[in-house]
Amino acid sequence: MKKVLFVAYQAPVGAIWVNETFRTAFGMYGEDIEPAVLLMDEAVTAIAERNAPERVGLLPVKIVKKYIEKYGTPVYAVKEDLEKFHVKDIDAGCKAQIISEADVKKIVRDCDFVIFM
Amino acid sequence: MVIIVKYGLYHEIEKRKMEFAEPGDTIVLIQNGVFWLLNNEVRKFAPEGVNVCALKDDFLARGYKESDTSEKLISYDEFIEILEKDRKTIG
Repeated sequence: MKKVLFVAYQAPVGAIWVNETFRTAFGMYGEDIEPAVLLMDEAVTAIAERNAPERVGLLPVKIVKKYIEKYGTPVYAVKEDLEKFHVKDIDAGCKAQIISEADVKKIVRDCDFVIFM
Repeated sequence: MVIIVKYGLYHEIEKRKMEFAEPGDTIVLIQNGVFWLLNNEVRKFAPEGVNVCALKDDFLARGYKESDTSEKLISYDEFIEILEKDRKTIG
């Protein structure tokens, strides 16, 4: 089974890419592909408790939580970026695994395809 | 592993992509990624033993000459061959 890592790096407010990253990953379950999601740089703010793109008329990120639960999709967020963007309260429903920058390289090199969205 | 870089100089994410490279990997600079050839900036992020190449058409289209870089310039066909030869890709 191919392992594909989808990486979001743009902020969830102002760009569609965090939602698109999750939507694409969930779509992989129809194929013979094992998806995972990595949030880095600005995209880590997507798992902040009070993150609310819907306040400015965008799609809420919280709609992905039930699918993360349903599929058990691995979601990673980079610790150094969480600190860089002062994300303190993390939404437990996102089930994000907080990893260090060094771990990112291991995860990336373990995948067959890494797609930056 | 093939690492495709398409955004220009000092793009935060492209820097981090290139830092995933290990000896034996190939970094391919396409689109605005060819700007990383200037002052050989790419070599700051590509450790020893990492192959670096750039799409010739993208480089020349941006007003540079082949002699403006010491890195290898490749055609689209060669780019496809690189992708097919290697099982893993970061793009």
